[in-house]
Amino acid sequence: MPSITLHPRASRSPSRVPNPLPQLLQTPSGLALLELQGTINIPASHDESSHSAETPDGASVFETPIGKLLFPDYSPQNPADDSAWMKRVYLYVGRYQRITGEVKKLPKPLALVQRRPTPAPAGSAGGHESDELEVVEVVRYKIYFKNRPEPVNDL
Amino acid sequence: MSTQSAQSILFTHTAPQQGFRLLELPPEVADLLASENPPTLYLKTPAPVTTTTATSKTSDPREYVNLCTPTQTYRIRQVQSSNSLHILRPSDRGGGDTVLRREDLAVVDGRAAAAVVAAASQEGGQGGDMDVDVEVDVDVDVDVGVDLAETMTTIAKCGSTLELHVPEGGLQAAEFLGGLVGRFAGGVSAAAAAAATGGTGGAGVAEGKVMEAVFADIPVSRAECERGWVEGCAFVWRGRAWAPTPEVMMEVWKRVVDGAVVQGIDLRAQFLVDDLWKSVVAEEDEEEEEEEEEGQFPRALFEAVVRRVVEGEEGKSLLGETLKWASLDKDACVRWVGETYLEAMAPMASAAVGRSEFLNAWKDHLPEAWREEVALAKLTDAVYQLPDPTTICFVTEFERQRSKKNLPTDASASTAAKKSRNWHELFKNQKRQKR
Repeated sequence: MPSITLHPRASRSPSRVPNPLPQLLQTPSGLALLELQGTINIPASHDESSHSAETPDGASVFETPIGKLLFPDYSPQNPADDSAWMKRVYLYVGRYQRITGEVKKLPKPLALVQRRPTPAPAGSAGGHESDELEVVEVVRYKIYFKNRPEPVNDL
Repeated sequence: MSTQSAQSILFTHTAPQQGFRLLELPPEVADLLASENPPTLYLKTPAPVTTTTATSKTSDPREYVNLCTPTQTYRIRQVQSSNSLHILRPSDRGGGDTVLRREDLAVVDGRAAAAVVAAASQEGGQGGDMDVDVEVDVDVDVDVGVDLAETMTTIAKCGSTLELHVPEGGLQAAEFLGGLVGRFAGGVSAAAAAAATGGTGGAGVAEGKVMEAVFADIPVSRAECERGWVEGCAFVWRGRAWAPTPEVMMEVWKRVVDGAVVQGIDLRAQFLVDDLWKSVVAEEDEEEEEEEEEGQFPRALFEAVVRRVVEGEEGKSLLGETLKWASLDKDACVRWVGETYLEAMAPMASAAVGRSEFLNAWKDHLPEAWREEVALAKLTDAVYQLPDPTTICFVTEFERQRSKKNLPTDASASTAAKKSRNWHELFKNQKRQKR
């Protein structure tokens, strides 16, 4: 029977990692959206320039630094309805490149859909993936970089 | 440097990346998901076409996925983007990894392997013989070092989004229903034979399960499935789902009306469905003895026909419960009888019947008191055609769809396409012309 279930809520409760993004971009799951004109090229080999950590299920997870995100006009002290800060977001890549972007409200909210992890059966570790989907989060804003990188002075 | 006082967040890339899909939500679906108790949604694809048209169409043109809320159906369309959409989440890899991370940052900032070494040696603790280059690296290091606990990492990249559309003219459960259920055309014996050749023969299968199995193969929402089921007078009998032909519907309906007259059941008021069934059966026993073999029909069919014209509460499901007390919805009943009769008697223009003849037959198929209700205006506009001044015929769903699709002229369609930035819209017309 060709029917796939799409659960409206995530099965996992969100992890409580402090979210450094401005309040507006924070979601219960912590997930946010960043759109970039172009791609980020990540070197294929991770052994030198990134660090790895063993996850409980044995697969290693690498995090490769790309740069820094900056909301220059944002301050948590700003009134909540102040949206002027949304006009400017910087992404620094390397020392001399900066992409300027903005925070935009999505014309239509986007649901982030993922396979629902099934509870791991006894004996085998790790999250098996089921054929059911779930809406992990509904995102209403995105960080949008539509410009080309520009050269900047050394910080 | 003033900008540096603002919050600066380390941005990293996590590997392996996760699989995500981005689904653009129309406002009503977004509201649904945001509600207190959001319903489960379903992605439905039509059942693979196995029979009939297989020779003419090698590739199944019906390959698509629909997203179904309990009441609505949307066609899913994948829209590619040249931009990359990254899904970020806060990273909690702080603490012991910090040292490593500083090295990494130096790589990013310095873009030179030499800098890594230098920075690493600096990390060792001596601030001895460093050249200027390294000094700079250290500066950066210190600069963001404050924010090191604050990291956003990209865990997925999406090159496309999924958009939801309500297809033109909506989606008709009826279209699919026809292909999934048996056509109940003749009397019991003929259908029984068909059921036997069908092979399933699962008399023990619960009726609900049979219906659910059919619904699972109809790629529209539950509510639309149910509506299609009721409107098509579909029923489950001998472990199989059936839909009667208009002729059979009319036959059953006529017997219902006649039986009601004989037993003195007033169809205008509330009546017991059981009584009505008895009246139909009783009439058979007494008057149509010789026709009983092919004239008999299953009670499920009788109930399906009654359910079709019963007054229902708006939005309430009529399925799954046995009808007990019922009252007919006068307008719906008059219209249904007229349309079904026309479909049975004059299914196409070449078989058109005389108008007055049709109107009289229509009246004869209604309870006495409703004869005056009969008028052409009671029919849905699109279902009938007047091929010449005296006749009338039925317009099938298929023809209706076709004439609807022809309505927008090519000119208006292309201007609409030009306005749209959507590639599908832009090239849709060209594709059509080539075909």
